[in-house]
Amino acid sequence: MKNKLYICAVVALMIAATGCEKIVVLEPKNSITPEVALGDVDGYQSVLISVYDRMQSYGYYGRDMALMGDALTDNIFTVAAQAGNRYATVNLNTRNAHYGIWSNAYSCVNELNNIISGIDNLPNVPASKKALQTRVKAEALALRGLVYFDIARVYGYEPTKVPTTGTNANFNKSAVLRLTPTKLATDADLKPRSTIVEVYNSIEKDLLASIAAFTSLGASVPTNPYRVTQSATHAMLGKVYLYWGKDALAVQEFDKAMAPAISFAKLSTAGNAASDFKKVPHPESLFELNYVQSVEVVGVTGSNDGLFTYTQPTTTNASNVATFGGQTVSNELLALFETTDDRRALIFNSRTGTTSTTYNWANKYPGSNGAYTDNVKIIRFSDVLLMKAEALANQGLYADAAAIVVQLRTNRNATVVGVPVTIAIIDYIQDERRRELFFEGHRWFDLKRLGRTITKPAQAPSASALLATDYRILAPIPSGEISLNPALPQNPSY
Amino acid sequence: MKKLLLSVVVFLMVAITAIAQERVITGTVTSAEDNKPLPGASVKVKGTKTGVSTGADGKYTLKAASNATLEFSSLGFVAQSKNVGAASSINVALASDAKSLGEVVVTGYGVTKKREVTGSISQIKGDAFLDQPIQSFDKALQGRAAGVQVNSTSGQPGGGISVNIRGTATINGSTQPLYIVDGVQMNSGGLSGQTSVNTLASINPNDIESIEILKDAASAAIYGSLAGNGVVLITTKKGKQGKSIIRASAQMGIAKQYNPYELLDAEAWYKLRLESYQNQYERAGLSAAAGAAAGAAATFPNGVPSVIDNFNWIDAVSQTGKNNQYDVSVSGGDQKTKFFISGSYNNNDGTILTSNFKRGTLRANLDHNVSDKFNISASLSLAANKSKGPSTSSGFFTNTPFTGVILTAPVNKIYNADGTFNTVFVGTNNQNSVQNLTQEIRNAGTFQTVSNLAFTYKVMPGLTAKVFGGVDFSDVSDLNYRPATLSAAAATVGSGSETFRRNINYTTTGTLTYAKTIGSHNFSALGGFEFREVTGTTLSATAQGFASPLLPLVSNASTPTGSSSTFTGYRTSGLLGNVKYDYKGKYLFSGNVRYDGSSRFGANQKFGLFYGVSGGWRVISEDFMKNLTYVSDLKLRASYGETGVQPTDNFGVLALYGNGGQYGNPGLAGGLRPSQLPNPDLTWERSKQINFGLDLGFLKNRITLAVDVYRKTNSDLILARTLPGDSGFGSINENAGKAKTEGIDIDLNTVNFDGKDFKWTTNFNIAFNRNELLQLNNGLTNISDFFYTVGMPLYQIFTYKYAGVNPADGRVMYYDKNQNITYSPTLTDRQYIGDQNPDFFGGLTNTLSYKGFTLDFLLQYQYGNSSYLQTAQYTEMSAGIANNQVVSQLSRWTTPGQLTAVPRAYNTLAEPGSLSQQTLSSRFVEKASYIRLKQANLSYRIPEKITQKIKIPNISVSLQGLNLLTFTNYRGDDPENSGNNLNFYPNPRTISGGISVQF
Repeated sequence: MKNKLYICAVVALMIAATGCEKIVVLEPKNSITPEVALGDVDGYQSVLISVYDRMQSYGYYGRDMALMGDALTDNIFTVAAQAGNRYATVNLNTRNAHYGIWSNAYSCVNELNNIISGIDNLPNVPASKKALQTRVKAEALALRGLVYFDIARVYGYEPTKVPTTGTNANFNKSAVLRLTPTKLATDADLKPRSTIVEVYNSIEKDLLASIAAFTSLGASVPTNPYRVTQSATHAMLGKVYLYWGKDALAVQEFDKAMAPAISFAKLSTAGNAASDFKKVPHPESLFELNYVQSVEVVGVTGSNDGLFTYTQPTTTNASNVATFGGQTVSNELLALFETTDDRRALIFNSRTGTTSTTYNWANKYPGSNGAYTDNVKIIRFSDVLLMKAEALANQGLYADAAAIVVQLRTNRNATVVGVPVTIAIIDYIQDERRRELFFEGHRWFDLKRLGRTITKPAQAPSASALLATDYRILAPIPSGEISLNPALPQNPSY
Repeated sequence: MKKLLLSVVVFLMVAITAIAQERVITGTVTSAEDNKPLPGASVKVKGTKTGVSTGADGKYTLKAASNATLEFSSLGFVAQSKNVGAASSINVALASDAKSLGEVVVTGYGVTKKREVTGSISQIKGDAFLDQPIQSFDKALQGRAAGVQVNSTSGQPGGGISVNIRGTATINGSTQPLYIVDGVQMNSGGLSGQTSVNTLASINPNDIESIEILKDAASAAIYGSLAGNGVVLITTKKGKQGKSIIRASAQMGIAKQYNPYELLDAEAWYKLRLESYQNQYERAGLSAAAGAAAGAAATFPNGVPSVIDNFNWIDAVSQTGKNNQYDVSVSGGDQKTKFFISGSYNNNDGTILTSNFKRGTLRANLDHNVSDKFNISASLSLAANKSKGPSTSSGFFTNTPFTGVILTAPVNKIYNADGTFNTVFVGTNNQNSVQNLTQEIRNAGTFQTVSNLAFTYKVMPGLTAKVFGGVDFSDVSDLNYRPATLSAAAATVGSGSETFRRNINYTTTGTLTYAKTIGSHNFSALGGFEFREVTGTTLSATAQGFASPLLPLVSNASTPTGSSSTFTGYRTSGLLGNVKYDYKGKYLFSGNVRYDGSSRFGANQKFGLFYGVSGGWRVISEDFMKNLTYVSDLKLRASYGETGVQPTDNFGVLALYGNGGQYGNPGLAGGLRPSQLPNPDLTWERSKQINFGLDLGFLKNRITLAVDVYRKTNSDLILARTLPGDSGFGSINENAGKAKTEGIDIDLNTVNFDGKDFKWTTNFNIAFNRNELLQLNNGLTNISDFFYTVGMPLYQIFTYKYAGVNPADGRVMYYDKNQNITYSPTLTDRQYIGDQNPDFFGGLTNTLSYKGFTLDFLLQYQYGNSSYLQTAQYTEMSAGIANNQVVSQLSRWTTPGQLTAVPRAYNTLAEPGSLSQQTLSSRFVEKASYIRLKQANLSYRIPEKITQKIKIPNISVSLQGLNLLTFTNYRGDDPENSGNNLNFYPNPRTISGGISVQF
């Protein structure tokens, strides 16, 4: 007995003396080290999945990129009391009530940087995984281009639309360009913002590299539009060129994007415009973010934050469920439609469960993919068509532009008499974009990139129009970033 | 067992025959104070190993030679020696240790005599909270120990509590002390994700012998990197040698909701609401009539009824709480084996509908001497509890009913005419709190054991080896179910989740102790090794699409929506040591050391050295004190030590890729993403504390006073260093920053009156404390938006300063940074309003006994802490929002020139050019000072003359009350819940009656 105890005590002390380091190590089980995570192509693909997951968040494509552009402008009148104050200040363009994608977008960028800088260095990739390796890299490059394009257009001006007067005169700062991953705390050094042209050059380079990688895989029609494809990347690049004023290049890319050999999307035929918004995926989608309701929109996340809850009247919607619906169709937007226009059927008038006042509601988010769940259409065929028309019109090819508008309107059962073939087509295209793409988040960026005044719905008497020189045309960079690195710098007047 | 006894007897008989000249001595040992027999006293023949203990009747029998000397001793009594001589019967009356300082105090890994304590240790005896209607012992700490601030975080029976020893000097580290139950280090905190369940509720308070609180760093240093917030040691009852004692008690009582709010009725509310619309429309240049019409349309979409019915939502969710508590215990033992066995059952209905806590506990504490040298002891406990109640997380209407019902406008009906729940509401997002409470299921079931086993071996005189193993194990299953009838779950046809949690926390310790006395030099040393591992796993599933509310398990759902599992944990391990030395009990010295490592520390800083030294001088033992007869005790103490506060993130130092969501169709793929950067330098926060103490006793210790002054400086605080967001990471933790807390603890005990029948004793304690943030990282002067500002106290309230209501137009005015009046201050106008630390706090306990009656009551108090009034940001809005209002809002501004503190009614709250009335300002900050009659207890011990007739020697009946009275000016829910008080479940008033029998 006595000896045993001695032995116990001695052993205990020996463990203490020798095994110190190991005895106080405990490995997590829900996480893994970077070496394990990025050990093969599938690991990189999982990181890519994470980026799509981040894009789904409500502060990014999940809601704000899909709807806030309408509330910031004249398509939406926000009924604050019904909305539970959602977008109430956004609709009034209150200082700081703006897009806030900075942190989310850069989390995406860092993960994409990990993929782009690492996936080519994988040793011993089996032949069966080579195509996936190329594909993951192609998607990552395309998404990095897209995310930087979003940062550039939310926080900075377009290359040709920098104001020359006012508080923001000649302000040419854009995104912070980081193209290598942050692996250690020391990698997270302070960097200033690059110029608009530097960022656009980087975006173009990424998208071209992505297209080259996609092309090396050969042409094929995707089975669904839920991941970035070659056709979507062409459309993105065309859009970048359009914003850049490179109209001829833009037309080339839009044509490639719509090529049937690589595109999932087709223009809907007449009579289907409204019902297509209940289809999953939307037949016109080049790129659409998909949600699986039972996993991704569970609990109160959907009913608090989803597009459905923002845009449908509470309890008097088709599902009779409670919402924070307060984003209503403005009278000015409604007035743009002819009664026969298929797209007019996407707007309905209704009271709500908590007020007898009636409002006009958009039915583009009817919960088509489950309770409180709708997919987000990032690029739609009609958007590409209208951008192509715009790029043609910008080059003075008014008749070609008008022909595209006629094609679209015919497919929407709208009259085609009066579609101008003169310079007036330029404004007509913007009205058509409003009719076609309302409540899809485009309106803010369309007005901004054209340097137009942001008009406001008359129903909101305390809202006033924003001139193109107004400092609120640019979103504020999070104040924490500025206090850490004043040299970024912050956008003027914030 | 019997065989063993037999062999001992045989052995003794052999011995007797061998030493023929010895003879039998008998006698009784009594206590000189009350002449009652003293069981368990030791009787030894000096210079031999022969010795016995007295029986339950104080009698003993042993053999001794006539030239031998017998030594009589018992804990807490002065030892005596008697020569045997010719006597065959020796009776001894032992005097109790006059200074009553023979009492022992539990310290880390050992005990020490109270008079030899050199650090700062508070002790609370189990008697103080015996048979009280509390479910966990941490509540018993309230108001009883100087410098220990205890606040209840939930009124849910068995719910959580926050304990803070000597203030706070950390920002991101834990502020809670280390709890140790019979040597087992516990994890404190909540166990369930569904409702408030306190992990310490698995220990039945009636099983506790004493609670010791190691307040200074020198005492706590033996627990190293976990001891930075002090240590609470809980010792459960052990059996005593002698006649078996059976004790049984029962309590029954009721509890009432504490509700300080007086709310408007429907008619008054509606009138005020219309006024707010009228004012809004008039301000916008429209007519008052149009405003009234809009108000009517918004409040009554289906037309204004001729009679506006009033609905009292608070009454609708309240119920009378009921407490039932039954305890039984048996303790006793003989020379070799001692035992304490107990069982208890608790059934408590909370004061909120459906809130309930049930618990059963079992305990067996056993102690057996296998031989003179070898001892085994075990403490085994098992507790099962079931808790039902409101959520612990915030959420106005769906989760926490109490805030929800205060805010629900009184025009909202609870039920429809057909008896179904109303689901169309004004102002609450169509949430019916009564429906939520009755239809949503939130259950937590827990099985927990805190048990240990120890082997002790006396290697040689003075040297003892001990091997100890202890475990704190709990299994928790949570169930949440929302039927389709609730609007939150309507679209998904019901939703549910089940979670299973398992927490395993075990400690193994090996120690060697050595004690030696050489002349007047007393020396003891302890050395040991300890390893602890804490792991927690959860497994959960969620689902939607339920057929019927009668089948709420996820297996009955049509669509599983998710499953998840998590694992977390940490390990600590260390070498520990303690040395004690005293000279004649006059000059005392103690040193603690621990070399401690933790898996939470970065690779470059895995182990740290923690230590403490303390010294004391018992001035009373000096010759020059002999003449000062009125002074019965005088001791000076000083200590200094360094302990640690561990990072709270178990894996915070590793570079990790974790869950990166999911995406895709068909085939939802899981994502992976970098979740954190490697952080090899991150380690413990360093906590250094210096303590000076003075113990004084007068008039044979009828008055005792303990005063302690301390300063604790925490450095290397774990702070986040912000990284540029464009790096993809928000921040990384680093050890930087510094804060201090300092204060005075005073503990005064007096025997005010000590007569034949009447006795009155008082304990008064008070603690003054202040803290200050000394340094932050990154060159910052404040973080968390001025909550922490260098040079200011922690937990600062920094916001706009309210300047009252403008008598001219009824709008809210504020002071700007130049103390000028403004309607629309900007962020730079915010200023220091107060901080949430009390200036002082403590308790006052009085015990009065007269014959069989005993009355004791505890007043708890706190002074000077500012607290938010978050509920007022909804209920004091002059009906500018669709929430119910308190009656004070009727005195809102209406006419120019009117002097009032309540702004004018304005729908949406934000007048053009003004901040929203709801904006946090000093209007919603108030001192939460209070005095509360926390506990009152009246008991009567039925005279033995009567009880002997029914053969039960000891029967007591008692009446207890908790939270009976509260004196405060605070307008919030409950001054005890400082800080965030939205969604708080108030502490109820409880009254219960009980009976206990002992025989």
